[in-house]
Amino acid sequence: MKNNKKIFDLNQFEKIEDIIFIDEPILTHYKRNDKHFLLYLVDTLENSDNYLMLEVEESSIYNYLTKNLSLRKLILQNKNIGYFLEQDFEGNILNLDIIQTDLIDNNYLPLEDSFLEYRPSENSYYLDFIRNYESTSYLTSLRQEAFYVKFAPINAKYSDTIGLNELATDLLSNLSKSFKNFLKADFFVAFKELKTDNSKLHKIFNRILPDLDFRMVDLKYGSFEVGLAVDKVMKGAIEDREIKDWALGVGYKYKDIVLDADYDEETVNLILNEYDEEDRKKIFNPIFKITQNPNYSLQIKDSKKAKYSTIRVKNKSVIEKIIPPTNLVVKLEDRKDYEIVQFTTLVDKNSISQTVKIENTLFNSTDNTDVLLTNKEFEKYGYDVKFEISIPLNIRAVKDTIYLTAKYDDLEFEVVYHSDKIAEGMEKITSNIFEYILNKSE
Amino acid sequence: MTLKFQENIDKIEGCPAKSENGDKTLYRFILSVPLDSDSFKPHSLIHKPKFDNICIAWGLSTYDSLKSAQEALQNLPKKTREKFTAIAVSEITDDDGIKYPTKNKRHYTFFPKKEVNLLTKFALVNQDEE
Repeated sequence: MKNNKKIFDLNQFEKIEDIIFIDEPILTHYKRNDKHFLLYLVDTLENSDNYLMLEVEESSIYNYLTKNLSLRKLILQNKNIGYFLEQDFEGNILNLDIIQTDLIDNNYLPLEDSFLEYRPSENSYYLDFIRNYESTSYLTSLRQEAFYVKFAPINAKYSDTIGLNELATDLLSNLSKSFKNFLKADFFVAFKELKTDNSKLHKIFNRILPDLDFRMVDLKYGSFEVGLAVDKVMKGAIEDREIKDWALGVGYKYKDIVLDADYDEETVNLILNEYDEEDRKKIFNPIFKITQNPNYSLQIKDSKKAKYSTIRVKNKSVIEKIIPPTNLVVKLEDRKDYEIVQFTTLVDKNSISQTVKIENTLFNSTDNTDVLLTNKEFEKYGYDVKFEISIPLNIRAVKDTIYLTAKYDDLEFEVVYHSDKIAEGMEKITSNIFEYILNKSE
Repeated sequence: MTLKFQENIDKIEGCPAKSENGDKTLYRFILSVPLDSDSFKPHSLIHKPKFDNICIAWGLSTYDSLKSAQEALQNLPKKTREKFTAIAVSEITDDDGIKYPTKNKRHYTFFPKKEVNLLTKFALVNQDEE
């Protein structure tokens, strides 16, 4: 029925963009008072067009344009009241009816499989719209999976506030150090059998390291509270499936093992089985520095809405199991007193060699010796150094401790052992130097 | 270059603003088979003066792949979808007219030159074979 009175004026709406255009606009996005509307041409009669007009959520438009939501679902699941408009070919609105979207005639609906790949060009509204929405939804999805760490003072002197230096040196640096060491130790535990080329493993690890970092997704001051999340999106770039799976899980593994509220027997056994003493020291020492500090409490919770639990290792023997203190080794074992003994090998002309320990001479034993780490030593442990290298390595014994010290590039590298495993020490210090060389070359 | 509907196009400032160079395979929905002159009329224009000032309404809607054309079809309401009986395809060159890239990179409005015979230029797509 034609009505000359203006009952609805589309000009009051801001036209955003035609989403589907087939010789005429089929689906158009409008906005008014920060509300989003879709105008959908559902039928053309002899003298007029019929449109469905729906107020929709911005997120639905994003999901539709990125193929995460079909147009059919967008229409049927919409809870807002819809409008059925009849417009003549001049553009006048002839009729307007209110409709409930779930009761729309099937003739006016698209197929179930009504997904659309909209690729916005430079001048499309949706280019920035999708980019902005992705960064917001990325943060939202990280927040949904985040766990929370709280660092609170015990003493009420400064109310519940934390000093900047305390925060930086007592919490953040220790937490970050522990996490970084855990990533490395766990990576090598996971892949040393699968990928035997150590230099390749180092390269892979250094490449993926930035993507392994926790994302900080929430922050609260006072008692310092931070939401940390494992980023899943960026790990999409890791091609190796096994490494990708590991990368997706390692952040949570750290939370479960290292930031464990009570360090029960099962967790402690897992720690002892998976990581050697050196790695355990690097991972757990920084954390125990926080948990054992009488001035603060370190707390953790699984999600924003959960309740905090304090990470407190009540039983000191648990700590000593994970990080055997130096004096504990002395107590449990017979006191060892290492000395470095030099051997002299005599070779006669008939190539019969004989190794002789020179005893009771001025040179029979010493508390330290110097050797050279050359390309040969690096190769022995699977590290391919591309240039000629010769690094003086000092090995000294002080009572029950062996120190291996090397200077390279004006930096001192040191490995300390409370056992006689010099070979292991040599491998470790070679590995440390090689890693430095790799990092420096990248 | 004189385009089909040039008189109407001239009334709209800066229409069409640009053309994509080079050859391009483009797909178009067809109302009836076999192809006839109605297949290449901007079908909204004939009776709908409300679109007179919309530049791309004076060209032919096309998609840059069969898949994107089929996707668009699935997004049409049942009644409109059923009006389209086929999809036609053509390799459009710079000599055929203007290929205007719209805000959706998948959709082009093709403004054919006046002398181009669209009935021979386009061929029906056998969608079962694609």
